[in-house]
Amino acid sequence: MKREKIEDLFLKSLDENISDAERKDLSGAMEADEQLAKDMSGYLIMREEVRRKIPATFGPYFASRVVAKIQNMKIEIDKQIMFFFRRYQLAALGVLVALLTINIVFSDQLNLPSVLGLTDDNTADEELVSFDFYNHFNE
Amino acid sequence: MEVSDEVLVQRSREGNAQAFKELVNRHEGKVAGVVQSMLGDTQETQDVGQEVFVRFYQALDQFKGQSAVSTYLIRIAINLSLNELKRRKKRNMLFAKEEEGINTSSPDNKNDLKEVIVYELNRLEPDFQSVVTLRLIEGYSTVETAEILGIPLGTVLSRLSRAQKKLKSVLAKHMEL
Repeated sequence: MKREKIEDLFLKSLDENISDAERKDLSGAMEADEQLAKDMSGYLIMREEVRRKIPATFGPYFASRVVAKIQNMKIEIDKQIMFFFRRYQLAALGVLVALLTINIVFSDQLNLPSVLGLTDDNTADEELVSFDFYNHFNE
Repeated sequence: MEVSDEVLVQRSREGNAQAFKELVNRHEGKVAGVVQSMLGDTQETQDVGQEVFVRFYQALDQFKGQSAVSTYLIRIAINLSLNELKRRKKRNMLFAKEEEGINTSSPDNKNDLKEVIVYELNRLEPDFQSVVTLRLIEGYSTVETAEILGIPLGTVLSRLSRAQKKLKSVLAKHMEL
């Protein structure tokens, strides 16, 4: 078997199950070639060296820092919402004053409900123009 | 009895900061391992680490529990680390010089096998680096690695094989492998 194939087979054996026949081929090739066996053991050394032995950490109080960051972000978002509305508050006030002015100009009587447009349209039935729809239709 | 991740996620959704803190404590090690392996021990590592959990918090409502919390977090960690690597590359191209830090600077002691390996690992292409990080450094199985990265198992195996060959050929110059 070619060296490249042996190498592939060796690497495959490190990460997944290989068949009995493949295992036999591999051990046969390694036993026959000492240099090849030494080369392959280089992979084992490399893998052993890179494997994490000490648990990783982001340092003390990491969880507290994350929670604080999230809470600060919430405050920041609240501030942004406030700022967004603050930009338009002058325009909104102007519109409100304009609407009140229109109400005052066009209202019949100057009292608070009419200025605010809160008067009920309570026209009595007698004040309504009567219209005999049936007779009008048959004329 | 230890409260399950699912319960902690539900409590966090309801605004329980203590529950979320417990989730962070529980998964910090795994996330730190991945981010540090990808980026080295730099200031950005801390920032990316925090960002992983902030993103997770923001996505709590979308988290349906189809995969384990740790899988979800590691996926975010890998993606954010890859983004950071891209940013580094752009910065390096912009300034046309190598940045400080363990990842891009040459190892001080070329006889220190660990240091040389970390240096060479960080020179791998990002797709290869993420596979090597998960499988070889952090010890996830090839199936778990495929699930986390969302790629077929065959792709994981082939990237792993190519990355190891590349690493070994480079390392052979530094030591008797």
